[in-house]
Amino acid sequence: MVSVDLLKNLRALDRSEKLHVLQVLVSELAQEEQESLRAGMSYPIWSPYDAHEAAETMLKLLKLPETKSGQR
Amino acid sequence: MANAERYPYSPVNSALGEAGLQPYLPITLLNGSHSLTAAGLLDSGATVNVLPYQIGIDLGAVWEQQKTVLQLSGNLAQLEARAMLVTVVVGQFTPARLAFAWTKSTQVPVILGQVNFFMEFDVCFYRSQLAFDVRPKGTS
Repeated sequence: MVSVDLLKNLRALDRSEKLHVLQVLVSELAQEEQESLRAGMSYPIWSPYDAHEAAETMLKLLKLPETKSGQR
Repeated sequence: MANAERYPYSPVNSALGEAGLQPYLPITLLNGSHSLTAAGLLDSGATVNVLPYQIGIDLGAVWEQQKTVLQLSGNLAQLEARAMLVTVVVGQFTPARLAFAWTKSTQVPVILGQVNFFMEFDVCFYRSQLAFDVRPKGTS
């Protein structure tokens, strides 16, 4: 909720100051819109779910005797 | 959670506010004489741990010497991945030996998944408090 004091202070500004505040807010809103999640856009999900064969292979490796530098 | 270390959620996108906070765990990766610090994303939906290409290189690994080829899924399915064993230090706990799927991707974060980070560490998420607890398995 916008505070009464804030509105009062904004209304007290002269025309050029109001325009400046407006420009700053519009610019920030545009920037946020670019960075926010938007409908219709696709975003990468890196999570390798259901990679069960890879998991099984890695578990087998872990059971082998330790080697230098993690080389397999 | 008893005997656990508590960590805060980390901001990854300030424009998203609280939705842009994710559970990144500070870790130290050790491979032979190489070591580096990183932040690993605690991803309980990930089947495996994932290591981005550049971090493997920085750890002194040589792609051609990692002979075990892995097939990943999701967005990582199209990229080559190879198995790599790395020692990982979490906080003050005893170092753990973790297996990573070392991917050719440079975009992916370090992912800590079910095999085998969550097999070695118990994790409790307190999303409403923007914190999570971590402790080694078998600790009570």
